[in-house]
Order: sequence, then C-alpha cells, then structure tokens
Amino acid sequence: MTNNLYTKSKTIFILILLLVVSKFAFTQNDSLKVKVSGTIGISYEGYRLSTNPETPAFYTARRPNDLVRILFQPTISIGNFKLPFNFSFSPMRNNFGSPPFGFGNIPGFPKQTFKQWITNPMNNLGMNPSYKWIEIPLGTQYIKYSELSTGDVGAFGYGLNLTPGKFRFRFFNGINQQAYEPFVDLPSNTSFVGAYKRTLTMAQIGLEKAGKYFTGFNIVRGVDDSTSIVSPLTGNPATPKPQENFIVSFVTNFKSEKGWYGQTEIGTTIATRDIMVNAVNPLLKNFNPFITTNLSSFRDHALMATFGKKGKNFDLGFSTKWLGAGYYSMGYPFVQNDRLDYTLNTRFNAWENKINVVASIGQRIGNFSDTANHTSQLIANANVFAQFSEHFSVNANYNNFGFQTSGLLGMRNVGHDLGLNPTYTWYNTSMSNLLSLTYNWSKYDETAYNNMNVTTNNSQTAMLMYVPSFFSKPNFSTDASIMFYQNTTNPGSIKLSIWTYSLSAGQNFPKQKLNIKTQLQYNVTTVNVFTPSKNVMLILGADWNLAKRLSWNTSLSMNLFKYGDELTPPAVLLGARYFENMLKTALVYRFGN
Amino acid sequence: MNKLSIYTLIIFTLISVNVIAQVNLNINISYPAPSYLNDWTYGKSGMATLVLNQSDGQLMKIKFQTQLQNTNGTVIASSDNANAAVYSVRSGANVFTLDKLLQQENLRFADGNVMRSIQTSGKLPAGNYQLCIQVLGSVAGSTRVIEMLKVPVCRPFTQANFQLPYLLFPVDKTWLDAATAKSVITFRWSSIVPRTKEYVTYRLQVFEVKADQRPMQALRSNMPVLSVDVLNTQYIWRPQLNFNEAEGTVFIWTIQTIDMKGNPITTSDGYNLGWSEPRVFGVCNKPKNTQGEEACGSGRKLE
Repeated sequence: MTNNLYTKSKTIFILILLLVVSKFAFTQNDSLKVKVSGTIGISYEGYRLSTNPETPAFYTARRPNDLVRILFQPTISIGNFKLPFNFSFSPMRNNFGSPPFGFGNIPGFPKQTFKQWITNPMNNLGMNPSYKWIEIPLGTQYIKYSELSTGDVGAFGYGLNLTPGKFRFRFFNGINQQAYEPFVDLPSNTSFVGAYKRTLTMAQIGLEKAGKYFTGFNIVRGVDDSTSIVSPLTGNPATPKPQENFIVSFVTNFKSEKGWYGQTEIGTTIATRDIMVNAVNPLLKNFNPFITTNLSSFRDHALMATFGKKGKNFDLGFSTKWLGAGYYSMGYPFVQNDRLDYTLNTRFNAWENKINVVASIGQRIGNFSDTANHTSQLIANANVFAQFSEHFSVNANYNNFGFQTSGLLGMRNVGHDLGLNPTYTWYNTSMSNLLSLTYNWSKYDETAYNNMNVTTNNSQTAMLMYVPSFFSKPNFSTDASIMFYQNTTNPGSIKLSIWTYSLSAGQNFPKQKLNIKTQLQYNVTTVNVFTPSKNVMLILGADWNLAKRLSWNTSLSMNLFKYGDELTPPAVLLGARYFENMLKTALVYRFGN
Repeated sequence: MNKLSIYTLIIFTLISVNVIAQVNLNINISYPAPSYLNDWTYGKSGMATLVLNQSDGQLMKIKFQTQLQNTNGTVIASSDNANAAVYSVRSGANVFTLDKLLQQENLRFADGNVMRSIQTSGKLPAGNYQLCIQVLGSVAGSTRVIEMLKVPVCRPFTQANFQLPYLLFPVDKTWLDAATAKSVITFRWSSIVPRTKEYVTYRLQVFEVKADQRPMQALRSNMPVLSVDVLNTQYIWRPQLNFNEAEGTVFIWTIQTIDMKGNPITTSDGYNLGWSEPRVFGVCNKPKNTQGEEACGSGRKLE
C-alpha cells in the first residue's frame, strides 16, 4: 500500500515536471537576457594546538586541523526563470549531532561513501529552479512548513512548490539521514551503533494571500529503512530500532493592515518506536495508507497559538504552545514534549521615542501530563533603553528564570540577572570620545545533584570601555577596555576572578581597498587560592577588495594560555601552557552590481 | 473407582506437586524501568529466569499470567490467559526478556488513565508499580493447566518519565555583547526531572554556526568548540575566541544528559542520545541594545 502511494507520488511528480518543461518550451519569447547574482567562493580554516607538556592531556583541540569549504551560490535569471544554486560543501566529516556522532574520525572507520557525503548535514547541495509560480526544490533543502510539523533538519531529495493565485501546494521527499553500518573499535573500546536510512516525505496544501493570511494542511511522514543496515547491534549499546512517524496539522495565520496578527496550529502525531514489531496494538488502530501501527506505536496531539497587535510605538502579543507527552516529530527531533508554555510580550516607545522598552513574561509547565510531578518555570525579562540627551544614554536589562519542582526529589534552579550600561559621548574640534560602563549582577541558585542543599552563585561583571575617534584620521579606529568578573559559589566560598585588558586598532586604506584590524587581549584568571593563570590573545585581520567583485578576507588569532598551579598535582602540570592558533581565509566573488 | 484409576490419580497428583515444588521464577527489573513499554524488550531493561527442575527432561508448555498492580495492590491491568503466548521450557534455567512477562499486547486495562498514557505516549504514568507473574504450565500430552508457583512472584518497579534539562541561559536567540563575552559566557540549564537517585553528567556542547550554515546543520555536523562534562547546572566558559567578525558570531548549544553507566537518557527519538532541545545565541561587537530578532549591525540574524 505504501509502495503504491510512493509510485503514485512519483508519477504525479514526473507529470508535473513535464508540464513545467513544456511551459518553458512555449515561453521562449520572454526576455532571454541572462542575469547572474549571488556569490561563489572558497574558504579555509586551519587550526593548530600545541601543549606543554604533551602528557598528561590537559587541553583538547576544539576544531578540526583543516577545514575547506566551497561556496557556489549564484542565481541565474532568464526572464521569469530563476535558477538559484545553494552549494556549500566540504570534504571533511565531523557529524557530532548526527551519525556517526564524532566517531567518524576513529582510525579504521570506513570512509564516507558518495551517498553519505551528499546527504551529510555538513554539505548543502541544493538548487531551486523556478518559473513564475512553479518551483522545483532539488538536493539539500531545509523545509519549514510550520511549528508543529517540520522542521529544522535538512533532507536531500526532490520536491515541487506551486503557488498559482491563492492556491498553495508544496511537496518534498528526501533522505534526512543516510545509513551507517555499526562500527566497533576494539583498541579504544568504542562503539558506533550505526543508523538506519531515514526518509522524510512532506506535503502542504492551502490558500494564501501574501502578507495577509494563510490556511492549510501539512502532512509529514518519516520512516527508517529497516533493510538499510545489515548487522545492527543488539547488545549494549544497541542500534536504535527503525522508527516511523506521521504528522498531520492544520495551520492558519493572518495579518491585518491595522497591525493585528494571529497564528494557530493544531497537530496530531503517530509515532512507532520500532517498525519491526509484529504485534498488533490493541489500543491504536492503523491509519492507512499513511501509517500502519504496531505495539510500539502511540498517538498524541499538540496546539500552538499566537495573537497580538503591532503598532509604530506599541506591540502587545500573547503566545501559547502545548505539546502532548507523546508528541514527536522527526522534523524537530530535539523538541521537548509534554509541556505547556505561555508568554505575554510587549514593546513600546515613550518620552518622544527616547525610551524604548521590550519585555516579556511567561511560564513553562513541564511534565504536563503528570499532575503530581509538574515542573514550573517562570521566564521574565525586560530591556529598557533611554536616550537622555545627545551625549548620554542608558541601557538596562533584567532577566529572571525560576525552574522548580516539588516533592522529595524536587529541585530548584532560579536565576536573576540585572545589567546596567550607561554610555557618555563628548567631542571637541579634533576628536570625539565615547565612554561606556557595563555592570552586570547575577545570582543563581541551584539544588545540588546529590542532596537537597542549595548552591548559590553570585557573579558580578564590570567593564569600562573608551573609544576615541580622531577627525583628522577618519580611517583609523581604536578602543580600549578593562573588565573584571568575579563568581563566588557558596557553600565553600569558591571564587573565580578574571581581569581582562583589551586594546583594538583598525586602519582602512581606501586607495588600496584594504582594511586592517588588530586586537590584543590579556587575561588574568584566579581560581580560589591557586596562583593566577595568564592568557594573551592576538587577533589580526585583513579585508582586501582585490577587484570590484572579488574580496579576500583573512584573520589570524593566536592564543597563549599559561596555567598557574590549579592543575597540580601532578607536579608536571605546574605552569602548563597551551598555544592555539587559527587562520581563517576566504576568497569571495560577488556577481551583479 | 478401580485400582488403576486410583493409581493414575495418585501419580498425577505426585507429578503436580513435584512440578509446583520445583519451579522458581526470578525477575530482575532495572531501576528505573525503561520509560517506553516497548523498550522492555531490551536485555538492559532486566531479565527473568525461570528455573525448572524436572527429572524426566520433557519439554513443558507454559504461559505467563500477568498482573500490573499499584504498590497498594490494586490491579491496573491483567493478561488474558486465553490469548497468552505459549513457551516451551526445558529442565534448567530458561531466560526471558521482560516483554514476554509483561505481554503488553495481551493486557486488559482496569485503569483508564494508565491506558490513556500508554495510548498517547507509549509509557506508563510516572510512579511505583509491581509486576506480578504466575506461571501456568501443562505437561506434554496433557491439556490440564496448573499454577506452577504457590503464589505469584511480584517485583516492584519505578517508572520515571524523565524530562531532559531545559536550557536557561543564554536566553534563546539573544545577542551577547562581545566586549564582555570575549572573557566570560555563563551557561545555565535546569536539572533533569525527576532528580535521579544516582548522579547524572551534563555534557555541555557549544557549536559555532558558520555564516552559510543553519544552526541545526552546525549542531549535526560541526566539531564542538566546547565539550565539557559538568555535574552541576552552571558552567562559566572562557571562550578565548575571535569575536571581531563584523556580522557577529553565532552559536548553537545543547546539553547531553548521561546516566551513571555512561548511557544517554532515552527520549522519543532513538538518535537523540539524550540531547536537550538546543538553543541559539550570538556574540555581537556592534553597539548595545541589539534585540534577539534583530541583526547584529547589518550582519547576521538569529534564526
């Protein structure tokens, strides 16, 4: 049944494709002037780390040694026909948040195949040819239909978007994750559990008047191919079972000329945790032809709504979102379910637009389906900017979040952050000056993991920055700052203090079309009674317009960090130091004017 | 009753008594029990061992009679004996995964809330339960079914439906000021709920989002610029990075929650591996008052 559905989908797709091609054939009298816009380029990032001593290890590399990325993002236009390319790719493989989860660099791990490379999230290989109201998304696409359906993950495949008049139809079918066989490295005793090939198929049908309203249905189906890996691991750790997910949602939104806006969506999902299970689910029927359930299937719902009014000097909005305990979307694989959020937000200007206020307050209730074990989180923040005069302005902000649960195993994570930033400018006939002071106070209480004691963190940050500008040297810029940060953790009165001194300078050479920047930063960090660690960082940068459309941007940052005695014992780490440097360079050509 | 019938009855009675006396069922359920009932099929969830000591060595047909109870003994669900799966067991130790004892496909629910929870989430509501098992057996060639344990074996278990940490600070889609962020960025997140008896490790991971990348693309593919294991819910990061990019520097961060044995906490997606819903923040070296949805100067926006 499912195969029939695919066959039909493919047939419909091919028919529409033929229709599009024939449409082009009959419209060759349109303007044939070829226009090219967009960019192409190549970038390189080189990272090197050396530590002294080399053993025992006390600092690990945080970037790959070499990373090359190639950008090919031109848009070719011929009349109403547009062909935008979105190619950005790299021969390297890291994959930390997707299979193989960073294990790809284990010696002996099989090199990625071509299929794995083109579907690797590191690479974008997409193009979206369009003609008037017809668009054909091909290759890598990040398609977001709505908040509850899909999605923030990419897929590699093919699709079709039709937007004639008010009618909207979108379809896409692509591989979200390529198959990987499990790999066990005996010397290091590490296991990569493997992954099944995952395909996402999605469609949207609706009505829209651009900038006014949209209403429509979304359907998303994701399924793992249970035959895509030969030898799944069954012990501990085990290969995750092949899954299936189906979502249908109804979404509607509107905007009025008077500034009113609203959006609602209601969705239902059916998820199967293991499609290999043969037993029938007595509690959940099949939803053929979309999904056949089994004993590992469950179904739940979700709802979101936003409503408000935007004005020139005043905004007010309310939003809420509820996700059931079993609500799950392969298009948003990390979203936390079983929760209810609601937020009230506002923005307004006052005092002849000299004061700008942005604020919001809201609550999140977690474990919503379990009334005895609700979690409650208050989120409140406000930002006030006031321009008192031509010379003097103040920015103030306040954040509060309180997360707590009751009961014996209850906990508490409550934070308050208050920031104040007055800025004063003055000038004379030869120069202008800017003096900026930033002060932040923060208090954070957390329940310790192993008992009911509350740990309190108090931190303060104070920074003073001075920025002079010389009228006789308009192409020269500089600034200097000094910052102090201290965090005290109680009980124990554990202190972390950091002093930072920073000096920046930049020079623009208009004739040579060259802009050079440099920054020197020196940090002294003290942890408790240990002798201070010292760190100096030098950043050099140059942006050079080699030609009208060709630019070359390069930056080099060097960081030398020398520990005090905080790593001892062992004694060999007394005064341990590391040196890391990073070179970034990119050559970019821009088409068009 | 003739002598033959009397002898036959005596022999059957002795056989029955002998069988009852020589069956032992040991059930081991992990703490906490797997969130999803479907996961009871995995060996790491626990195992049951049925020890049969039978001198004639014949195969014996058995069924499990299952009751799911509250801690106060109230029956939540019980299995339908007529539809229970039949297993052949030999003399000696016979090992079963827990799904064979639970018989999810064959349970008849007496509690609407529990049934609704399984229907909508595949999980039992959080709480304390006990699994009570009686073994029903019959000797080969006989249709007579007998209870092979004097009393059902009951094992209490705890169902804890974990919610992964929620990322609190930096607030989602906010720009931090480069002048202070170049020295210190503080990360905070909520604890895993409910709090576990054993400690968990929070692996804080921060990924830089390149200019031509989407945040989720960066998380799925890039090497983290910070990966550190933390026991509490705050980490003070000294980034030592170049924040002079004119268009701003963007990061996506998450927490991976790992239990005492080093296994990620299970969630809906098998490939999620205990990662919390990620959040995005940026570092902007432009003048103050850059709001979250706004671009850093004329540069990047936080999406």
